Parts: sequence; structure tokens; C-alpha cells
Amino acid sequence: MVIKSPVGNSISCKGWQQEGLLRLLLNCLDPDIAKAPEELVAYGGRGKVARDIESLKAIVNALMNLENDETLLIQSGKPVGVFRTFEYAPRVIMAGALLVPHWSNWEYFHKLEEKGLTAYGQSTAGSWAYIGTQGILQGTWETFGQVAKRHFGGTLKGRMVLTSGLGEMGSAQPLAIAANGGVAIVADADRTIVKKRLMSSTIDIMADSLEEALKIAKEYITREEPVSIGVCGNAADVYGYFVSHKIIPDVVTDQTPAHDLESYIPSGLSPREAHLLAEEDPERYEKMVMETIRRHVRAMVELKNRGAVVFDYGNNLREQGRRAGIEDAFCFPGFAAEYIRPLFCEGRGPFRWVALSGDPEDIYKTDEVILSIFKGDTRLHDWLNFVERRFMFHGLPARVCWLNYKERSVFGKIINEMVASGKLKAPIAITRDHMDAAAVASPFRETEAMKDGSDAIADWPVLNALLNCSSGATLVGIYQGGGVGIGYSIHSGVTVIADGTEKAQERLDHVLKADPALGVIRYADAGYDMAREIIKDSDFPAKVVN
Amino acid sequence: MGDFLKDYARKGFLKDLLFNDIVSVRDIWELQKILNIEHLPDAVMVVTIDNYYSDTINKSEIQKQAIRVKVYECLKRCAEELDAMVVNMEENLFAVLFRIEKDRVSEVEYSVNAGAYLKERVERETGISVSAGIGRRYKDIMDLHLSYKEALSACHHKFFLGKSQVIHIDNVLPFSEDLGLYSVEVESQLSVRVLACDEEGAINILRELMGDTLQQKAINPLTMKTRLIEIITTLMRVAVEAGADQENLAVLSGKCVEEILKSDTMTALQSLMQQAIKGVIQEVYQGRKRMNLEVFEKALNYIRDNFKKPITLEEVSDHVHISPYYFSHGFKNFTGMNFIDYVTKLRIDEAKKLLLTTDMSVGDVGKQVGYYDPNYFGRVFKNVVGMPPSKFKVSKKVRLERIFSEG
Repeated sequence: MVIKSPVGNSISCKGWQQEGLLRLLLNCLDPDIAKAPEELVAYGGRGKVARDIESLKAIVNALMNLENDETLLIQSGKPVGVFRTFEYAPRVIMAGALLVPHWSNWEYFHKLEEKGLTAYGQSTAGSWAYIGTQGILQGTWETFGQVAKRHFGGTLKGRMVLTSGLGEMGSAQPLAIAANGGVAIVADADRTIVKKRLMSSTIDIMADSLEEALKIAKEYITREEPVSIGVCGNAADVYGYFVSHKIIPDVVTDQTPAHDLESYIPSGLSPREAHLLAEEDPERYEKMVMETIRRHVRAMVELKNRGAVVFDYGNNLREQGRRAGIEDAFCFPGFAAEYIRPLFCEGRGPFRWVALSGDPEDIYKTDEVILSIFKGDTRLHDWLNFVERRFMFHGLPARVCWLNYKERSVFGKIINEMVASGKLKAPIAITRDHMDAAAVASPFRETEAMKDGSDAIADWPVLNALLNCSSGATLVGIYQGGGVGIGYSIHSGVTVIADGTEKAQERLDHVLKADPALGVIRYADAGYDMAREIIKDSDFPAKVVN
Repeated sequence: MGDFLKDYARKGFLKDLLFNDIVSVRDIWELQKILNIEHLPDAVMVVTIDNYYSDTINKSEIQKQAIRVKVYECLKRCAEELDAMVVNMEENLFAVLFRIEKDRVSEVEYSVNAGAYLKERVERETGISVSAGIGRRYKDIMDLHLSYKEALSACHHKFFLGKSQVIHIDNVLPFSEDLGLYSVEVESQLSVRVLACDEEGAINILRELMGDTLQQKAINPLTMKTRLIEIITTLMRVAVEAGADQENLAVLSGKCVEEILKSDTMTALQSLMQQAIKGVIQEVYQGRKRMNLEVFEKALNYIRDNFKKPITLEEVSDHVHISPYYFSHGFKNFTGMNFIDYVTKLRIDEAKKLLLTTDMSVGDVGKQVGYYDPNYFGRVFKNVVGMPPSKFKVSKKVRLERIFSEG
């Protein structure tokens, strides 16, 4: 059975608020978007949209019968009740994968999952807001944009970025680096993956050797032209080569699967050999992995000491390096704390909207509007230009743009007006990733090394969810374990359906102001100056009490 | 835009998609809208007419066009039923861009069914045998050109499988570039056979060689064709050295190379190679024959200049630098008579002339034409002419006089 979202103008629910959520839910299972739709898995390992097929059917049925003043409750992917609430209350609220902290680990979680008591929703799978890989691309693009802004005057032109890993997440790197003007050298231990990325033009050139890659890189750097060069090689060996040959790239990072040691390939082995060894002699395999990680991290530390901008890209590499015996593994920062935090301080985060009509034209029209209202924003222009050129829509067409606390509500209003006036063929769902300013507590990533030490404080995402409920969002959910696994994060998701009505406008105005404003307050509270300045603004949408 | 123009523009759009010539996804979408293409395709199949080149070699360009149009029109009609689009990419290559309906069967199964349906319909409705190669599904339109490349590659496997095939790239092994079979030894063995004008032997070697390859089915046809062209070229060089006509071989070589490159199936290639080798052997043979002409002309001249002296076969063969045995054999082929008979004929003719035009005695005439024993001359003369020399001289003279007096 193939599940796809309905498209077009006629609806099967009692209103567009419900219909919008139904379409988002089914869209997460579109075979061109979802990782394993037959198992209800949207993405990210085992991120499920519903607990099981019966739950999915029950949810669809409940949504189709849901009145405009009722609220459906979802407990870890299973519908548990419909309550009479208010018209402005959310139509769906959810809680997923939450455990009492003492028992909050994978082992216990899996036991409960086996009993059918819970489900892992990752982030946007559980809250039905997954839209495919555009989000990853935008996040990576934004990160390298911040690297450029912080260190190189806003562009990576003429800069060499050394990185590794061309898997699902990592393959956004060469595109993002080249789109920011830079020269990327990306190593992957699997030749077939490098070849695959070449075929799909994710990398521009596949070099036969590191020497050749460097030669090509040099040419492009001299001409200040962007290019991405893929090379087959183990990250530890490649980074080591740079150190021993005294070649210092401008930027060094990596996206090897260091967080999942079973997928990390030890130096000297092909992917196939690594796989065999892991099965036949796991101990020896782990020893080899740790030795490779040690050399990998050692080289990154060395390159940092020699002047490269080095950061961890959220794959737990530093921690693994520390375990492998590199004492100063944490001498380079994580990407979230270093490059995403300044964005969170101004309430800027992974805002996205989805055309429920299914027609790409609706998204292209909103692209044009957003470009006209934020004329001076060259980053936005660059991003839209890039993504329109390279990215094909799958399932319901969607767009991701990082907007700040002011921009979100302005744009939300315009979208609702476009729906009302018929400029768009059907309503738009406005949503975001969970990795937003107030929406996430994740001490290994987004809230690493907070200024006041509040890394593990999880009140903020809970408050965020409660506030979004109070503000009239169409869907609100609170989850744990997204991105970094059970026990390591708590986060909330939100969606509002812009159906062109005045009521929707009221919902949008409240939610799109409150949601990012709480983020600014969270960072002001943690002592970040930029956030502290913003909350002093006369038009800041909340009264700051302390 | 009129329908006619739209149809034309649509073909251009499809070609651009397959050549990966459109740089922006948004442009693709805009074009899709303008050209009324409801769904973008996500997989490609290529269809070729089997043995097109060899079957149309003697047909006019209009005839060839008519065949292509027939297939194209039929393909287009049938493809529409599958919500697919057709565009001609090369003289004998149509691309069918289609969309895989995933909900029923697997991607490969769906594609192969679609391919088989199109193939059967075209064959039934046009009577023309076609084959299809099919690429994988790519969900990103910017990757559609990869499916096209795969379809082309799948279609190359027809070479080993024979005509009227539907081949999905997932169902064939990638071609190897290994040509272990085509060793240098093969060339020298074939050269020996060609020089000996041993057609049967040469063709047996070839058959064995290609039979082995056919079993493997995994060698890239282009690589194989290149190697076979190399072998033919070597054989032609050997032939030239053996005296074959260079110009004829150049014509043969041009024709061979073109036909080998365009050969559609292994069977066709095999027969082409046989023809080529036969052709080369024929040229070697003709060359030999021509060379013989020159040798024997020279021998005859020598004989004509020297028949009045005692002359032997060994002496003449030595003069033209070939063995007495071969000379004797070849001489008979060339003149239709053996050496002794030929010399005798020359001598007797000359003797007749001398008897009629001079007053020389029979004995002197005999000596003059190389017979030193008058009795022997007399016997030979009588054998050849039917009367002794003396009688010949008298009777001929009388007859001649009568003729002239009457005249």
C-alpha cells in the first residue's frame, strides 16, 4: 500500500484545520519522502509518525470526524481520546516517547516499545511535520553561512573546507559549502557512495587521490570559484595527511557516523571488510574503530592548533575522541553552540511552510512574496535562488527558511491573506523543526555549553509547548530523544494551518510571535547579550517579567 | 502556442531532460506547466529497431524514415496509454519517459511489464522487431538522465541476448572489460590461415573464439567490436604484405568497420566477421593470381626469346625465381598446357613459318628452331601438324600459289 497526501481543494475533514493536519500526517509517509513508509518510519533511524497501523487508521478516522471545537490527544503515536475544548484550542495535542527521567534510556525505552506502550517519534516524524531532506540542506547551508559570516567576512570564496562523510546528512555539506562560495574536499571511506554522489551531482568532482583533490582545490581557490571535490578515503588518514604535509584548510569538520560506532569504518578496511569484521570479531573491530577515531580527532585538534576553524558537527565525535584517549578533544566547539546559538538569540530558527494544495506553484508564489518583503536579506535571496534551482519537491511542496521572531508573524499574516484572496490554491501549513530556540533542551547539541550552565534544563520546551497550546496552534506536541537519542533531549513541535480565515490569522499572530519570542527570552535568561538587547525592544511581543 | 509547436517544444524539453541540460528545477516546473505535462517522468526506457542498419542498408533514406516514423507513431500511441512520453534521440533510438506506479508491483516488475507491453504492441502493429532497455527509477527529475544512461547500457545487452528483448538494468550484470580471450596468438593463428587462403580454418578459429565470448555474455560489445576491428586490421595488413590489392582492401576495411560497429546482435557480428575474413582471403587469393600473371608473362617472354636454344623448365623457373615444381604447376594453369607442349608449339609454329617463307632445308629449319636431330624434328613436326615437314612445305606452297593466281 502506498500512502500519499490528498491534494487539491476538496477536503474530507470538517474543516481545513483538521484537513491540514491529516495531509501533513499522510505526507510524512509518502514513499518519496519517508525512509520506510511500510513501517511508518519517516526518517532518522526509527522516527515513526504513529505507533502502528491500527493507530494510524484510528488517527485518520478521528481527524476526519473531528469537530471544530474538539481536540484529539495522541500518546506516543496512538490516539487516546477526543475532548470538547474551544475553537481556538489545538485540534491535536501529543506527547511522545516521554519517560520519567530515572528510566529515561534506550534499554528501558525498547522494553516498553516492545510491549507496544510507546513509540519513538524523532522530532518532526512524531509531530507530522517532516518534509524530506530540504530541512537538512537548509540547516547545513545556514551553518556554513554562519561560519563564513563569523570568520571570513560573509563568504567562503577562496576558502578550503575539509570534511568527511557523504551519508544522508553529510551529503548536504558539499552542496552547502559550494553554495556559500567555498571549495569543499569531502572524504568518504566508501567509494560507491562517492560515486553515487557524483552521479547525482551532489559533489562536482570525484578525485582519484587526495593529491589530485588538492591540486584541483588549489586551482579553484586561486580562481575563487566554488567547487566540491569528493575523494575516497578514511577521514583519519585524510586529515592525518593534511597534518603531515602541513596543509591547513580554512575550515575543518566532519559528518562520519561517529555517534554510531557500528557504522564507523576503521582505517585500512573497505566498508565490506569492516562489516564482516564487525560480525566475526566485534572486539577487534571496536579496537580498530577507536584507534581510527583517536587519529581522526588528534588530526582535527592538530589542525585547530595550527589555525584552522574546526567544529564538531553534532555526531558526538569529540566525546568518542575523549574516550579514545584524546584529552583535549573538546578544544574545538560543537556547531550548535558556536554557529546556531547566535541565530537562536534573535529567535531565528527553522521555519517552514507546506502547500496543502500539492501544487508547487503555491510555494513559488510564496517564495516571490518572501523575497519582496525581505528585500535586503541577501542570505534569503541566495538560499531561495539555490534551493529553487537544485531542489525538487516530493510529496506536498514545502519551503524551509530560517526566519526570526519578527519575520515569522509578518510572513504568516501574508500567507493567510494570500490564501484568503485565492492567490494560493489551498491553505498552507506553517510549522517548524523542533530544533528551535525555546523548543529544545539538548545538552550535547543545541544547548551545549550554555553561558549559565542551563544545558539540561528541560522546562523551556515544556513551557514552549504549553504556550503554543495557549496561543491557539493547530497542533502541539512534546517529545523526547530527537536527534541525540532517548535520555538526551526534550523538544516540542508546533503547526498552525493558515486557511485564510480571520480565526486562522488570530492563531497565526499569537503563535508565530509567542513561539520564537519565548526562545529569545530563554537565551536572554541564560545571559546572552544579543537576546537581552532584543527583549528590550518596544515591539518585542512579550512582557519580560524579571 | 499551437498544438504542433507544443508537440515540437515538448520533444525539445524531453531531450534536454535526458541530456541533463536544464539547470533549474523551477525552470523544469515552469516548462512542464507551459507544455501541459501532467506528471513528470521518473524512469526511462530506450527502444531500438533490431538490425536496423543491416536491414536498411539497401533502402533509400525515405524508406528508412518511413520505418522510423512507423515505429515512433506506434510507440507514441501506446505510450500515451501508460501516461508515458516518447522522443527520438538518434536515428535508431527512441526514449520512452515514463512514471512508475509503485503501489502495485515492484519498480523493476512494473518497468519490465511496461516495456514488454510496448515492445509487443509495436511488433504486432508494425511488423518491425524492436528491443527495449530500461533504467532505474529516480525520484529527482534532475537525475532522470541517469535512468536514460542506464537504459542505454541495458539495451547494449541485446547484443548477446538477440533481438526482440526487454532488458532492465537491474537484471543484467555489468559488462567487464576483460578480453583475455582475444590474445595476440589469435591474430597469428588467423594470419597463418589467411596467408594459406584457408577459409574454413580461419572461420573455425573465429567461430570458436566468438562462441566462448557468447557464453560469457559479459563483455562490453563496444570493447569487443573494437578488438575485432583490430584483428581485421591486422589481417588486412598481412594481406597487403602478401600482395593483396591495397585499394580493394581499403574499401573492404571501411565497409567492415562501419558494419561491425553498427552490428546489432552477436549473430549479426559473427556473420559480418566471417564475411570480412572471407573478403580478406579472397583478396589474398586474387593478389596471388595477379602476381602469378606477372611471373608467367615474364617466363613466356623468356621462353619466346630463347626457344631456339635448348631450354629447360629449371632454367625458366630459375629466371623468374620460383620453384620448378610450383612453376610447372602454375604454368599449366596460366597457359592451359604444360611447359614442353608450349615450347614445342612455339618451335613448330616458327618452323612452319620458315618452311613457307624461306628456301631453307628441313634440316636447317629444325636446327633453327632448336631441334638439332633432324629425325627427331621430323617426328615431332609430324605429330603436331599431321604431315612431315617436307610434305607441308610442298602442299602449302602449291595451295598458296593457287590462291594467289586465282586472286
